[in-house]
Amino acid sequence: MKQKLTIIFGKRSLGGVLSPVILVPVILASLLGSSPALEWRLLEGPPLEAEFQRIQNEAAYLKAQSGDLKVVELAAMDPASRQDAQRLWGEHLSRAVQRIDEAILNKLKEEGIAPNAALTDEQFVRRVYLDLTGTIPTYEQTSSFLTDRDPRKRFNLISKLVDGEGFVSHHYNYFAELLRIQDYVPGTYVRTDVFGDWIKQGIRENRPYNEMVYDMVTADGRIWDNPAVGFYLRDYDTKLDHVQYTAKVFLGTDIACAQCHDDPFQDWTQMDYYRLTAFLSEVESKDNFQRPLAKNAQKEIEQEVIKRHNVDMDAKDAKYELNRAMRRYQQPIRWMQDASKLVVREEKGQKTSLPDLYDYPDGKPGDTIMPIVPFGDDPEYIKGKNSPREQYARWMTSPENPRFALNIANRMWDRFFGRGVGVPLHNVDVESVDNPELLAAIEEEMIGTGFDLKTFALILANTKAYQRLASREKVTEADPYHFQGPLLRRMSAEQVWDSMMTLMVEDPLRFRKGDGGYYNETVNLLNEEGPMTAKEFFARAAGYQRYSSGLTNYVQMKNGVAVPVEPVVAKPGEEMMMNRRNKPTVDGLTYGDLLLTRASEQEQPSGNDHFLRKFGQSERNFVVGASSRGGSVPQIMEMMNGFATEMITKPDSMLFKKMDQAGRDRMKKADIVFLSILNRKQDEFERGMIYDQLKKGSEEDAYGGLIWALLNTPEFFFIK
Amino acid sequence: MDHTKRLSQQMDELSRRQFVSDVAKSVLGVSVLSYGGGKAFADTEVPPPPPGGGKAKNVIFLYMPGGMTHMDTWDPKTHPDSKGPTEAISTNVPGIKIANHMPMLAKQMDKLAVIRSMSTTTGDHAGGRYHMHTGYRMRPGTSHPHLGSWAQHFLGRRNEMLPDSVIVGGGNPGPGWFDATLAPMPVGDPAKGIKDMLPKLERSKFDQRVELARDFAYRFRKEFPHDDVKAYSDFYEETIKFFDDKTVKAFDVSQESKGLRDKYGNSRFGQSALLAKRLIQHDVRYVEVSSLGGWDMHGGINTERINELDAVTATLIEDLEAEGMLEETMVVMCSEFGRTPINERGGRDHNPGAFSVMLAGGGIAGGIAHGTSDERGRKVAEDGVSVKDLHSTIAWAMGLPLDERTHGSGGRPFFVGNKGKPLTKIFA
Repeated sequence: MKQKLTIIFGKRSLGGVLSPVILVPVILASLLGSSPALEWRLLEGPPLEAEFQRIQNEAAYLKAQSGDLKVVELAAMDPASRQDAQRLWGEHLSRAVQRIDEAILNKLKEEGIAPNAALTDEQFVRRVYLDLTGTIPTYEQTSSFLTDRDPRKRFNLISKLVDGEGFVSHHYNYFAELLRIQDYVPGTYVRTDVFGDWIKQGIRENRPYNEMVYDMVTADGRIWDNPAVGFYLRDYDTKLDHVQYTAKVFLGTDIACAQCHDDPFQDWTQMDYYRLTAFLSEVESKDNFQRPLAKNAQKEIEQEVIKRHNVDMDAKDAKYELNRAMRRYQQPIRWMQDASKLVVREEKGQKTSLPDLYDYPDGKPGDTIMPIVPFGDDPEYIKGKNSPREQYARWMTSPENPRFALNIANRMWDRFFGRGVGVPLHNVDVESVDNPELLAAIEEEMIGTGFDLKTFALILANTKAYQRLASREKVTEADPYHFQGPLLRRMSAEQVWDSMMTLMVEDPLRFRKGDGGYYNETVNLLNEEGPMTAKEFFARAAGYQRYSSGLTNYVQMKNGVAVPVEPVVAKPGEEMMMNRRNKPTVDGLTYGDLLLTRASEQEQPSGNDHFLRKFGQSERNFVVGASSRGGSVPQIMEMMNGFATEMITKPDSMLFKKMDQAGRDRMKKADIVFLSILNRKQDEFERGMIYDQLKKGSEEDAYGGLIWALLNTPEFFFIK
Repeated sequence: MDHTKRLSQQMDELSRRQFVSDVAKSVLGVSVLSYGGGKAFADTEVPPPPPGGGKAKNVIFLYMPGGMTHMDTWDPKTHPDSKGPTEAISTNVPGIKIANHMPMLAKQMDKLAVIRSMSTTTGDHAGGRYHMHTGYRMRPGTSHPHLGSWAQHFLGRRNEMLPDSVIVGGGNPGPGWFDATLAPMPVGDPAKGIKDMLPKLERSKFDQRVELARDFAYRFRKEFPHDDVKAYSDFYEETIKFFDDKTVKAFDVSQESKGLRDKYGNSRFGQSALLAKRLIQHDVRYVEVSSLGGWDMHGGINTERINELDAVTATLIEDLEAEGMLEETMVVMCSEFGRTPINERGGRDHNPGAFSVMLAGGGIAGGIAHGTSDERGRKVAEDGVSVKDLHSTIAWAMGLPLDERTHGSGGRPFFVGNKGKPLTKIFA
């Protein structure tokens, strides 16, 4: 049945995405059941009789008796109706929280296990900042939370954090790893920054996750027209691999074995694999685009290059020298040709056929395969006039797909609890799930929020289960686990880096990666017509060089406005300030070779010897086991002797400046150090150690040593 | 559809699958399970390696990132399309000619085995590099171990104070599905060794800080008697060992005589090769040296780079021999793929169809040129060798069990060398 959808817009926005929602203790929860049809009064037009479904992004989703869906912005509602909607949604969320908690308590009771202790405020503030914003809280954030007397302060903080830019950055990191976002399409010089921006923007606007996935899976065009093609381009030459990777990431289903043979441990056949791939038969990712040079341009270019580089054409190695000089200009143009060639589109009539080595009785090599989904409904609606790829995307992202909502709910759960309700994440074994009631609850709540990841995060962070201390002992994936608390987790590489940034600079997210319109202006060879003249050739090459020189694609946020960064300009008679990698420096952003900004705004992924990689940041090649949370010698060396620790322990560091607030009170200074780094106060035993430490050497040495020691305890890395 | 109904349907489906695999595992035993095509299971068995391996106690893996031109190094051509700026010269082994840019190695041909019939499947740098370092094709699903990690997995760590494998000058795949203790240790700049990573404070002050950190760690360790926390504490102790004089010295090429340092040359590649030898001497098992880029010669053949390669490699082999280490140290020189005939810009483009690899020491018989490429150097002509064969050859020489199954992610079976055939005939 097709639903009719009407959207009713309001005149103004009400502010934060979740601000109107109030969580209330629900006593009558069970009485309410499914919401009865109510009358909704609007500021304009006749009232609606409809069943309340949810609030999402400041709009109420109402289901009329006809089955039609009405999306009414809260701002378009009569105040009384608006309050009704907010109350109903608040109750719904409270029920969701309660349902999750009950599912866990039921299981723990059955197993005869007590839940872990509830988190203290100190433990809570550290954990919730790390999980919602990707970094430890600052000294000020920690203290203001600890001194807040509002009994609802935890709820308030969670609501605030899911709406902030830290949430965008932290969430982006997760998807960048999952989607293997690299700065370049592998094997090409086509930059993918705009795809990363697209993901960030989607998170910022809180676009429903199912819609974002649908857009990625069905995206057409070139990357500057439609950044979502970045998803397909990541695997642009390897369609077969792309299918199994998509299944792992979006359906929590591992069909990899079946790419080459029937899966011996599961039931996927190679035929299943090819039938699924057949949905993408018509997807192409390249065309033959080529902008030729104008007549005589080649000659003019050569003459100009000879002139610019003083190539001695009579010398013995003239040809070699000229080639070398030419390369500086030709290469950027070739990269642009490549970028213009990469286009995702559907080419009718293409088929998928069985591979040469196909060796099962149900087909023979070369047979054309028709698209059929391997599981879930193959409902009517996906047939019809949509392209096979659209059918595939609809099947995949439908709430009716048995693995789609389950996968994302389970992945998000894992982020908060250190383990999925179903394991492993990329191939959830529903059969062996320890707590099916819990899995059903999170899957349904994911659907109930309309795949709203912010609201889902808000639900999880408000559960009592989340707000319990981590379990003391290691639990492997093979061990059953009942969620008496989250698992003890080492921070992700990005969380470690971002936490160091929080200790090093004010507001690390003030510097962000931006695209600066680079693609359309410089790379898009289609934005001008006809063959390329020598003049255009040089202009484009220069544009490329300016961009690839490094920092010109960064912006600084000033009062909410993104301003392009200004490299430090050389004084007359001085060389331009360059760091070792020959990139210009920018005040506040560059520090040696490093960029003092969050992980989400760094190179994607960072270079091999970067701090982030030492802590296990994914190389963005693999879906499973791509990042690591283990220790290593280079990592500890970095913490002991690296630049970040050096910058934090220096007497002119931001932390030392904060300590000045304490005047001459030495223990108060130590408090500031503790609250900044471990987000807690010291205990009696530690006080004694601090006294001893402060007697040693100069004050600077003593506090420097204290800071150093706290950064170098395992407690710093672990989320307890 | 009602959720419970959906879930139960799904479970029915999954239980059916589970049933099939449970029955298979418990009743039949996995290795004899061969319904359907059967190919899947034939793959899980590998014949035992031939006898005679294990002479290479150490490996120095010289890697030329970018795609080293085979036709201007080990496999010079006379065909006008392919010749380029290169002449073939005689070596000290009659009948084997190499490029004129490598006069020093030409005098050592009697110690070297060259494989001129390598080919691979990918012409993309990242994919080729990955393949050459792991023996496996890069796939989004699995991260495979570096050869050094495989060696440590089978043979154990050789030295308490030093890592078992080191990569000088460039990152490459890590320990794959093995844990982090099997990861190769990266060193960026050979001249600095691990100096950048050493404490910048006075030693006594540093030790004090370490002591304080240990004291602070106590409370947390007691609160969380967790394996991961313990592993972290162990890494602190492990790291402190690195600041030991003996370890620092092993990584310090300035401890070598000036004469020898000069002989290796002042280049980063030269100093890296010297560091590799020094680390092997100090009981590191597997050292990879990545030369700087510059091998991706689309726009012209840079013969200076080949001269440098010649001088450094010849010096390394000579030095290893002089120290009596060549017998048990295998030197491998390779790259992700080869290159095409000369293009319109006087350079060469990517060519996975044919390329060359050089091996010496560790039991290799010298004076061998194995296999050939066609007259234009585009494709393998005779006795082709694949990347997995090369990996199996090195692994065999190190005495690693090519037939021992290891389970990676998802329980899939993997073998060191990826079921390739060791090329035993190039050994003495």
